[in-house]
Amino acid sequence: MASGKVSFLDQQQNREVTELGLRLKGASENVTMNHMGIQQTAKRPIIKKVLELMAAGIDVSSLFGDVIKAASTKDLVQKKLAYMYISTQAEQNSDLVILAVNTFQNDLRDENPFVRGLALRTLCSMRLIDYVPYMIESLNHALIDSSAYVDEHSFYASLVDQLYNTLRDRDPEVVANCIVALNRILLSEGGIAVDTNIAHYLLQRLHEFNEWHQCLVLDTLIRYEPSSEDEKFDIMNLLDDRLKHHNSGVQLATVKIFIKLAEGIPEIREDVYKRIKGPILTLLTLGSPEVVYSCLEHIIVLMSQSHQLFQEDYKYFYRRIKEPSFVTLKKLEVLENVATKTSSKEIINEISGYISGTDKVIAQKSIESIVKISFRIESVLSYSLEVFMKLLETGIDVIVSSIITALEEFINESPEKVGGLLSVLPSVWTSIDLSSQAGPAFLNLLTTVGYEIPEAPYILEFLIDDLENYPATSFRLQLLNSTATLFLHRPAECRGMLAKLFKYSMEPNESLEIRERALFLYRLLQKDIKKAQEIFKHQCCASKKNSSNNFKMKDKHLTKFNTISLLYGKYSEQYLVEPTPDVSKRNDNQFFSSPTHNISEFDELISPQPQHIAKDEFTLSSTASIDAKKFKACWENFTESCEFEISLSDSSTSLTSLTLDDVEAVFEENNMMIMASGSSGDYLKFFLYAQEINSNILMLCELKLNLNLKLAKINIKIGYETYGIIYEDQKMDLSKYSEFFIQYLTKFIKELTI
Amino acid sequence: MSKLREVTQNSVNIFNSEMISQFFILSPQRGDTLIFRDYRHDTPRDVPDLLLDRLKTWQKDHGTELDPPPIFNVDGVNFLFTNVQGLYFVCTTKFNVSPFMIYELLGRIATLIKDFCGILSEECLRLNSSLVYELLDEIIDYGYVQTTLTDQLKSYVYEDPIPVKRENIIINSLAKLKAPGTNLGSSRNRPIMHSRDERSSKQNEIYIDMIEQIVASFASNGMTVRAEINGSIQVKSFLQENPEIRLGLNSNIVLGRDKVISSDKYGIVFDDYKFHDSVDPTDFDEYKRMIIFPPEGETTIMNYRISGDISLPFRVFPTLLRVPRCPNRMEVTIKIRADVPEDKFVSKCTLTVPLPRITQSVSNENTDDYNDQSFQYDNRAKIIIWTINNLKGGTEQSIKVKITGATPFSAVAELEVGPISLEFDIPNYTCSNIQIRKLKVYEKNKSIPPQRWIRYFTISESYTCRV
Repeated sequence: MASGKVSFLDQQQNREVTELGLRLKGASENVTMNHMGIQQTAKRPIIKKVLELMAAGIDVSSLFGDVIKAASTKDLVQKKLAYMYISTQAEQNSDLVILAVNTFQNDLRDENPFVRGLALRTLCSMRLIDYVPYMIESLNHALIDSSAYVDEHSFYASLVDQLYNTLRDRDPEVVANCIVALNRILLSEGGIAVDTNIAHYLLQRLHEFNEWHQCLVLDTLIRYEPSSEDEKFDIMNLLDDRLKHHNSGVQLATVKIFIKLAEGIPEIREDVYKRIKGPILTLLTLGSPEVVYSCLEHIIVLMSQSHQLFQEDYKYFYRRIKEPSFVTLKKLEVLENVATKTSSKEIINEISGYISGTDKVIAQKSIESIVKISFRIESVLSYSLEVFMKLLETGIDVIVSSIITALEEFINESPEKVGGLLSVLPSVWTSIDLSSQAGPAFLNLLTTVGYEIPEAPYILEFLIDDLENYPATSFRLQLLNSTATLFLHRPAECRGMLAKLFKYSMEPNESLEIRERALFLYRLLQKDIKKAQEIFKHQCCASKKNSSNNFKMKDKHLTKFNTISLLYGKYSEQYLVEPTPDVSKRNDNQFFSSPTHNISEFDELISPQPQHIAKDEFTLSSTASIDAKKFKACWENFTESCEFEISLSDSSTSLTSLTLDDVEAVFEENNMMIMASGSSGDYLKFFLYAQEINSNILMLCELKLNLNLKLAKINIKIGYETYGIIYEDQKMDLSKYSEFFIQYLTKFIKELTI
Repeated sequence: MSKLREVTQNSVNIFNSEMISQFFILSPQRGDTLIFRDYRHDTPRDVPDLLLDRLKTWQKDHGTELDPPPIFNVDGVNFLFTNVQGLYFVCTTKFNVSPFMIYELLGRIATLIKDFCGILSEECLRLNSSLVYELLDEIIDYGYVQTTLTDQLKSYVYEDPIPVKRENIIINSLAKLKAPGTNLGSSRNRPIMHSRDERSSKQNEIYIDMIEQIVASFASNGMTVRAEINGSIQVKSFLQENPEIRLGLNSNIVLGRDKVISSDKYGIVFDDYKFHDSVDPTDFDEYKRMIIFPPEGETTIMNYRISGDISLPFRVFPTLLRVPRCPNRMEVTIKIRADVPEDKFVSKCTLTVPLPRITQSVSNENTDDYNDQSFQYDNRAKIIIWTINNLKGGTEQSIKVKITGATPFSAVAELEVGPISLEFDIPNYTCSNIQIRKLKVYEKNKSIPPQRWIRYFTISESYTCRV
């Protein structure tokens, strides 16, 4: 049923559908007994089969007419199934729905309230604007219906006053659906107005509602602002037992109200947080993995509000043997933040037990967590190192590589502590996966603190002789740096190998970046050894890590409490408010995101006058600004496009030292705005856009700069910001402007290399 | 039509609307959608395929050992799902709903299907699809959850359950082994609904299970690092018209950590507890008594959590011995002691011991002597699995395993042995000593008292020992 359907299967499915249609036409309405002694009509199993095919994603719309006929039956199950089919298929068969209306109207007058309710619900769930008059008519009729079952389904319509009156209905289900209806109708005003009367009325009746409606009511009550502190306490007392409800949805909705009520009264804040802690921990121990996962996300937010809250309960966040890994990973995240001076040693000991397991991802995350805890709580640092040293000796690739990467971070934190323990490096280095990020980390370790290790030069020499096995640029660069550093410490041993490395690195087929670096180091060492020593001494302390607690949460998270956007964390805006545009999605993965540029007035004043190219009618706006969503939409819609390549002149080597910033600066100076940029592999990649002032034409450009091949790949798209019909002369314009734009771009890209 | 859509999208920013766009059940093996119900028609029709694609890419990127998180967003559609006995129960929504509510709902739908159809399996869903659709139609209306109460739903559902044929039950019973404690015994795998004409007195039954899940871990020196009991009382009722039931527990239960335990030092201290809506706990504080009006079908009427002083049911004593003469050899001895009363039996206890990665072969000396034990070595995963059946309370068992490594074992290789994890199942025993002291059913107009079945289980949730 995936996209690549086999045509044979298609045919077979078609035949099946046709056959069902024939059987439906032929089947009688008479009630019979089947082999298991169950009474049913002959049509019922056929419609059941139709629904089965529908669920499997097979097109059954051709049966619409037959199923409508089957809907007028005395068999209630058959009627339900047929109605379900009709409401699902109505959109595709809007012209045939008129056939069903007759059945609906008959059923709306049926003596059985179930039939009336069912017909009404189906009629209202069809999303067809043509049938709204029918709907309204039936609804007006239904609102005065005497049976609650019908009543319940009639609320998704109009008549606000009547709805506010109906809030006083005896049946809690009617009241709940009434709230839903009011929330929908009064959407523009922010939903149902919750004044003191309504709030207290709902609070008093809360117990009568079923669990799902309680969620709804509590969610509505969150909008109520109590007038006094006493009132707040009253509400908390009334809601206290909801914290022990068996449905975690009710519990969390209550927790949210508690937190909101406590906001204004600082002296009870801690007590309120303590009150909600117990129920949350119980959920953590007894909930389904999905609930536990959501719970952990909420705990992270709660901890940001009250740091001490869970500090004594750290054992609840230990791993359980059967739990899914998504839960374990979240628990580790909590443990990172819950550790204190007193508990950290115990926690690290516990986490270290997860590392030798078979799960790679958990092992890596565990190591990361230990590092994070040790950064925050310095007293435990030496203990973590001890743990790491022991684990290093196991010689298991994944573990060793992750730890080496972690240790490199330690070095920047406190080189003196790590230093002495690095004597194990020579014995473990063969198990390090040098092609991963652990490679450069290992080299850095080896030379910045490990230069006293007698074996250090020999390890480097071995690597230099084996150079073709390590093609990664980052590794090569670090090798150059490391060898040069070691040379400064132990010139006699390293002289030969450094010369060898320089020779390899400056070969013409080597990547420019490496050649550049080699050349730089060579010149530096040649010119002024003292200066070089100074530079390298600085290098190792330069990148001191920011050890401050990376655990900052904003208050606004609390408003997201008990919603899925909290589970998405920082990406929630993208996910929930607007669909994620393609461009920024790429940002997450491989691009360093750059903020969209809105040139401020100040920038405008100092920015150079728009450049004129070819003719005066081509002027790029200096204030153009579109967002990622728009960019994506335009990128997809614009039909006028052009792809081409420009080879860059090889006049100088400066090309390799180009950074994102350099390129961006050039573009921005010339009124081409940057949507996103980043580097991946040997590429620098940009998404640019510009707007022409006179015609308002929007020009989009995807630019890939391959610095090694000295090649710029350009893909441009051009069009009008507002879609619609494009007139013939505008089309002319488009092609004209795309030429201009190509010229313009070419000019600046060439300029880059000068 | 387009106007309707606009309204739905705007509302995202204003407040949470508990609205569900679609519900479906997916069988991941063949990628079949067994049940599909669209409530709002505001999300694409092909969402099951989207989810399948997403799950496949996840496995490709992360491997099978890493479970995908239970929430995905694809092009603005949120997928919230849970895996019940190998089937994915999925809700999609465009709204910023409460994740807790959705996950609770998914679990509840699974329970309801089990209640109405007898069991939950792919086969059963195919046979009873129209009944399931009837249920779904009443549970959710236009994306809003209406009710999940069995007695209410029963009056709306007209289709009769079709029982799954005998041979197919085997599949389900295998699934059951994985989740011991829930739904044990075949007589319970019966739909609450019966054909309207064949209601019999056999229907007159109630099952009460007290299940305690143990979470414990021990450090390598034998110290208890943590110990928790997560208890629940589950009721499966076939009684009509929600009769009143009175249930009393031990009187020495102390509620809440903060309360002073002075006189009774043998008190069982509940850290936290909660009741189902159908329970009236007014008397619980004082008399440890509750009044229940259990709905038909399966309900967890009470949950509790105990930590701290717990007499754990097992002690494990592992010892490692490297043989000085042959460095490629190591001896692992594991002794297990069942610290439960002598009249109790541990029906099954399985120990899993990870071995060093360089392990080449494993030999075991003394299991042939016992019929109740089995021993297995999985060379791919480098683990040994030792299973003991019918371990009597107060007794000990031990096993001695010789392992040979590809290269000599160093001191650090010992680090790779363990942690040992235990899975067990102790019937007729609660670790906390909580018992049902009283159980009375007050049924109107019934001459024959209903059958009452009370069972106790202690099972492992996570029981590990570092070596």
